[in-house]
Amino acid sequence: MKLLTYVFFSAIIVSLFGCVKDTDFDQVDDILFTPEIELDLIYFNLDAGEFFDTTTNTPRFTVRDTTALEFLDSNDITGSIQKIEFLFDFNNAIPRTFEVDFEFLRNNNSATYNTGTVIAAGTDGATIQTLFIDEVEGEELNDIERASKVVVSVTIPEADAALTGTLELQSKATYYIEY
Amino acid sequence: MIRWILTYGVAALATFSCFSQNKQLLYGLENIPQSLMLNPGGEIDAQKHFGIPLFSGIHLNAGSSGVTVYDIFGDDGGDINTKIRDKISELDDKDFFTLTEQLEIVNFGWRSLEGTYFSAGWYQEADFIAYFPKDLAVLASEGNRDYINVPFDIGQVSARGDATSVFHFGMNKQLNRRLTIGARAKLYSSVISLSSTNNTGTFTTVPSENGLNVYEHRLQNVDVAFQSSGLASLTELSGNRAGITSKIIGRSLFSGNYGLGVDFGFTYQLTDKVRLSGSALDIGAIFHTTDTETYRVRGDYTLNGIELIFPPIEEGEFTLPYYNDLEDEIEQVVKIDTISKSYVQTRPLKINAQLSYNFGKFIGGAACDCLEKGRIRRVNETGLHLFAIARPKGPQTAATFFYRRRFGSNFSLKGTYTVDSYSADNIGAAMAMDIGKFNFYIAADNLLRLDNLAKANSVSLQLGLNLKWDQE
Repeated sequence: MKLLTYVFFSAIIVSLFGCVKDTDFDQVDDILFTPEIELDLIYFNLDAGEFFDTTTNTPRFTVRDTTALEFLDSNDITGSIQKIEFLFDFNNAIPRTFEVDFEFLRNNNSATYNTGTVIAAGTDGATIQTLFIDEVEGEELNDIERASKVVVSVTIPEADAALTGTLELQSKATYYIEY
Repeated sequence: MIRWILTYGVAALATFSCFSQNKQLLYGLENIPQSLMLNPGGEIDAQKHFGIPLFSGIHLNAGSSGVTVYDIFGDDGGDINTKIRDKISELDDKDFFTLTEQLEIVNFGWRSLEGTYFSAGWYQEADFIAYFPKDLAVLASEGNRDYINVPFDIGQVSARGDATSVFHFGMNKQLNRRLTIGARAKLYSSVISLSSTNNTGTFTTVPSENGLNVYEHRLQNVDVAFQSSGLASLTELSGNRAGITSKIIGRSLFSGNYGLGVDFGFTYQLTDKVRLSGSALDIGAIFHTTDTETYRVRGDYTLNGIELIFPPIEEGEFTLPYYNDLEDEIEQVVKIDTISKSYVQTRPLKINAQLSYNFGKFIGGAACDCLEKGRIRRVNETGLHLFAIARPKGPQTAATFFYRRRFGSNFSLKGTYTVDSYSADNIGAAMAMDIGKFNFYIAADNLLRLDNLAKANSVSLQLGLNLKWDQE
């Protein structure tokens, strides 16, 4: 009886002070999550008529639009993004080449990052695809993260009232995050 | 934050861990008064008892159903990120994390002249359960890039936490030589209550079907709510530790959020060797009427990105506020409501059932026709105990095989083997003893993991100290 009681008490005491061993909690410093997030960005569908001003009967060589992208300079993600991969998918049915520029700006409109490409001309009745991939990392990434908006400029070398077709853009960004 | 949760949350599981509210070790131990808290219709030996305040009943428990500390932090040379990724893959949304604590502040009882045993007291309980939101864990750790067309289930978010103060009064009566019944009335005072259950919704990224952009990001059938009482006023006191402590102590008595509940139980002596007992605990609800807040997000939305329409604007003119318009559109469609309205929350119902077989010598003397005399005590008792508790995603159950040995009427040991959905090798032990008027008990689970608690999914500890006067 005494022995049994002794054994039992010993077991209980061990349970109270049971040990945690073969563990290394310093590994917490090595924990790293690396999600890769795909998000739509901007899109447009520009008609050829946008490049000719019928009231003044003159070409409008550059059309331009701006949108805020306020999440870029958000404190929630700044510093966690390791790389951004932009994919711009142009489908051009206008028989002209285009220059497209993306200018990232701060709130005070000072430029932080520029990129752009030339879009292949469409042909009569056929749409030509131009894929433009821009990978941003390192110092350029810091530039992007200071921006809060992007200005998109589409420039046509020549235009007239008879020009037809559309220029479409679909785009996405892949954010490579570490935290 | 996630690192903090992993380090301290999982490490806490190493200390005590899981079938949180199952107290199979104490159930049916008639020589400790606290067994009446598990079955108000249980047999009780005492003439009267008085629990040592704050020490008569201490129950600690925390754990997880599918992961141990060693699984993540084991010093086995493996890469911790690989281990986390593998564990996220292995767990599912039915896996859960629990934290339970009960502390008896006062517990006392006495037997009336006609034999009814009355018991009453006040205990404080904190109970928290959170299910593993697997899909959101995958989204947070891996992103959506490799999960195009795969819906992430937002409805997997399910958690509930309550800190409650309970005042109770119970009666236990042996009706005849075979049957003992009992009931306990409870008045709940909710200190703080948080819950987010019965949520729905998915987030899916699919290749664009409307042709507008590369993808469509779809929020579908989203209805997610977070309900709380007693939290808002504490949040206002953020940083004022003394104020928060004072408020919590005050709420233990008069929180403004009260509830009522009852426990029922019985013990039936089928033969002089076979005994059947059962109980239903916490049949009741709390009516949250003060300091309540509910956040609710609901709606459907498909995000295609931002469409630029290149409006003809003059130099210096502002273009359209696409981004703000998008935010406004989302807010209109996916409604976020903050409301303060009363709500009713049922208590987690617990069911115990036990069938036991008694054999061996009789306690305190030679064989007799004990059934005719009423309560029977033999030195050996073995049987099966079943437990179920209502949880947000359905009942959780456990089955326990036990053997109990009585050494006279003042000392008994109990060993248990418990199987539940997550563990098949839970060995536990309990001891109850009287030394003079002092009644002491202690019980612990998962003894096979004592050499290294890091490898345990579940360890629980219960202990208490009473003053007890036995029947003459």
